Amino acid sequence: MFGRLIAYGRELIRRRRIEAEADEELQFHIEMETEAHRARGLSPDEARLAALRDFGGLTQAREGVRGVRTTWMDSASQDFRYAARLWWRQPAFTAAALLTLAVGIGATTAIASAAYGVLLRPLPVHDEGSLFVGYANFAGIGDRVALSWPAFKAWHDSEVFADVAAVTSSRADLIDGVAERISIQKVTSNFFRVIGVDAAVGRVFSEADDASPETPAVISDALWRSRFSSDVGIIGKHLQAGRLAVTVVGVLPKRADRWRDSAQMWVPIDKTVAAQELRVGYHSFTPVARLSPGLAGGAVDRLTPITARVEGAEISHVRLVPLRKDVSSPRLQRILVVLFVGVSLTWVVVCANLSNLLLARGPTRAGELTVRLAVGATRGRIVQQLLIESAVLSLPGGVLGVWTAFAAIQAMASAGPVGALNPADLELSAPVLGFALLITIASAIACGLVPAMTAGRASLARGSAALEIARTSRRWSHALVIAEIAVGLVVLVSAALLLKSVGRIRDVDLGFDAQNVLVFQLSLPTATYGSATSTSDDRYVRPQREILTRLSALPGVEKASFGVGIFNPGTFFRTSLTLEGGRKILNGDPKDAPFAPAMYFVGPDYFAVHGVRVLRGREFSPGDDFSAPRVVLINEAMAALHWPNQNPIGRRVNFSLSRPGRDFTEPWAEVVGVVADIRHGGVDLPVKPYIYRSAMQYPRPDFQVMLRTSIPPDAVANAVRAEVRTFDATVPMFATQTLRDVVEGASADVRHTSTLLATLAGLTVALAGAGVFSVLAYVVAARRRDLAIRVALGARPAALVGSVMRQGVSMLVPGVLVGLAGAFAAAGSLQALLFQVEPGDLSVFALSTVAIIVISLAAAYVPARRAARLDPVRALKE
Amino acid sequence: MSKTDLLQGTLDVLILKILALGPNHGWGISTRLRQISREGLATSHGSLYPALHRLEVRGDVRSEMTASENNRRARVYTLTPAGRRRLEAETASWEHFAASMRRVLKATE
Repeated sequence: MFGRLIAYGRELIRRRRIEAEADEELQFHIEMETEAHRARGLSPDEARLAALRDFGGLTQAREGVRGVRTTWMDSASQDFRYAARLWWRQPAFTAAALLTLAVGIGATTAIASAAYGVLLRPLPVHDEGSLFVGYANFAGIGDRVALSWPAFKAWHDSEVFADVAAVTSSRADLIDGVAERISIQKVTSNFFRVIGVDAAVGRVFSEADDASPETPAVISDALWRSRFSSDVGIIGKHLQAGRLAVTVVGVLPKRADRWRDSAQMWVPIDKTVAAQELRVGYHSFTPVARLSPGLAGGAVDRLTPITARVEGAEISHVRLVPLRKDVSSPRLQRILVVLFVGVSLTWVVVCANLSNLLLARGPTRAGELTVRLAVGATRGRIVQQLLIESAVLSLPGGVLGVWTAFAAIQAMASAGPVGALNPADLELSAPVLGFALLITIASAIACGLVPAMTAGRASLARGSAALEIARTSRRWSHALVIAEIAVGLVVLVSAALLLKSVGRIRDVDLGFDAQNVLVFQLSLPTATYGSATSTSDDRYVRPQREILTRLSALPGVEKASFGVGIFNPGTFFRTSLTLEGGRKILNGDPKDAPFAPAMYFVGPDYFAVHGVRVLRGREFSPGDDFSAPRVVLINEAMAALHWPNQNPIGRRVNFSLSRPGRDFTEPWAEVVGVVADIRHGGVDLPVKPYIYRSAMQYPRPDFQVMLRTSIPPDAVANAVRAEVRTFDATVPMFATQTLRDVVEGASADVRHTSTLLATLAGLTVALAGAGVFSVLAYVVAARRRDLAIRVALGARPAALVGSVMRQGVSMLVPGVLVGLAGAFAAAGSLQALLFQVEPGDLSVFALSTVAIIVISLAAAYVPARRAARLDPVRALKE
Repeated sequence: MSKTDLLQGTLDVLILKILALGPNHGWGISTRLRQISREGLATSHGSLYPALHRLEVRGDVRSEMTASENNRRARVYTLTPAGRRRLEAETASWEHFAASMRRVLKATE
């Protein structure tokens, strides 16, 4: 290969020399011929003239030799240098073009990297396409329910798969140093073998671990970097994660944590899961297995009866989901597709604008092109030259674009916009850079093709090339601006629909007051407080009470309570219930589904802290503790459902349960109060029945504390931290947030998407306006003489303005019509992301259309005014 | 005898033949051609030189700048073995073509 390059280089040098010597070669011929004529008796001058005449075209010969000797590469490099000089001499135009290209290519690349990282980039597992995740469809509970341990064992023994592993998620706190809540995956010992991942540092689980008394743990790359500073000495280190004492044996490679919510630690199931949870009814284990994709259907058919037999008759079927689909939520996938399409449309408008700018120069360059044609340039050569000029502009634009994308990615990674985007996904990996290169080249072609073809098609034979170029250029410019307006309208409508959605989400009354509430998690460590031996152990009550008393006494804190967090979007966990009178409501029975409430454990003053009205009776008080009779609160919906038009106070319910694997008896609990409805499950779920039990009657070591503050919640956070430390320095406090941030976090992805899309829409509409402006400005400039004559003949300014505006309207009307059609289609596809907004929302469409029309007309008005203000004398003199 | 314009392909084979008689430069080839064909064939020099360079690119001839009769250097072309082989092939097909033409033109029925 090198030999050929050297030979080619040598040939190149030789070729240059031969070309230079071609002149000499031809001169030799001329002189010999002159000599011959002189020998016949002509004078020196006449002889030379005769020789030149006989030769028949010195220039043609020279060009012919050069044509034979030069290759495509020579002409290309010539064009390249010419183009560079050309753009260098027009700094304003070049800067504007580079800027627009950088923005267009940069934005597209940045979004592409997010889309690639989430949707397409393979996980660091072996043969991702053949890995499947298993779920069961439980009637009444849902479509994505995990299996219980006996069901998983049945899958394992069924030999449908060569090997199947199980995963269950959990959370625990690392408390040495700064307390941190981490996500833990408890896995079967064959897990890493099944998915095909090896440790980057250290090792994964092996058979030897089964025999050892220690519990091995593997941590994620992200955790290793953030908490342990990438210290290789982590191997062998002992850590305490909640109740687990583990020894770190390995660190996984980057991005291995992308599945299952960025897990940070993996431990073996057989050492970490209590026997109690290995029974039927505890749906905690998700199987993952390797299977040829074609066999998935057959596997489902075989596994469904097996699973149904073990779990009980409530399963309709099992599902095998490809791992890739399981990694990110369908919602995130849809968002990324929307953003990618939006940014691609913006890029199209950028290219159209640039193409227009290049087209506008067409008539000006007609003279130069005519000369080239006359000297013998082929049409292909001219097209090549113009394409190279476009490329010389686009390539630096592309480089700038990649740099912009890099900066944008850094910003995205730190601000965390589109919801569950993991920073590791946003790298400028090789495929993304390849994509950037592709759209740079595409930009060069897209922007340069139309001007090149327009110029190339002009021929000398058809009279004035300049006029013809001008005419075709104008027609193309019009078409491009129409396209720009249409695209601008589509993006604008989409962004407006999303923005309206966000507004609607904000407007939903969740039923509680999220202002001025601080929430955080506490975890009473086993070391100090021991571990509850059963559900009737009350050892946590005293510390809970004391913490609440201390915190309420802090300045700035009005009320304190604890319990389950009030806002859990997307969740509704039904509970079984027996009503006074014998009616049993089973949460697994589809018939009972509308009647089964969800259950929350809350502390005293919970509803007062959250600003929720108590409609009847009272809420829990500090006296409703373990030693007191069992009490419950219900919400309005529950009251209306089970005791319509009656007073529910005093009614009794029972949570006892008697089912295979779950068996406990409870005393009867009395309803002591009715509270207003709260949308615990977020804006998407309708109001449902809820029943609240006193957290002090069922103490747990992990709970959330919520404080109502009279000053902004952030201001008391430090005082609270200090107070908890004073109370007991070993109690970790984490996940401290204001309730408002929690609520806003739920809609963060849609909000960020709408912001991004709105930015793109602004950009696109501005570019479309610029397109209108530039085309009409050019038209006015080209028609100066014509318009000036009209003024001289007495035309009123209004007529001239009208004439120019009419041209603007001729682009606007088709653009808006096409745009509306496109916008309808786009809105239809957005439906899944919209909240309480119809895709065909008339006000959104109307406002967007009006906006585009106004901007386009304003953009058209400026050159129109300029036309009216033409000084006929000056214009005619030019 | 009129001077007929020559097509590119025929020009190539004529050049090769002249060079088979000995290395020569462009002017020499042109003169020789006129001489041998007794003024029957003449080239437009605008096409001679491109043809010569094209032949060299194809490898049928090679060339060299050498000092010459007057003070100028001239590019002298020499036939290569590949060029010789091409000349033989083209000559054969030309003879065949000419014979066929003669047969048709001389036919009386």
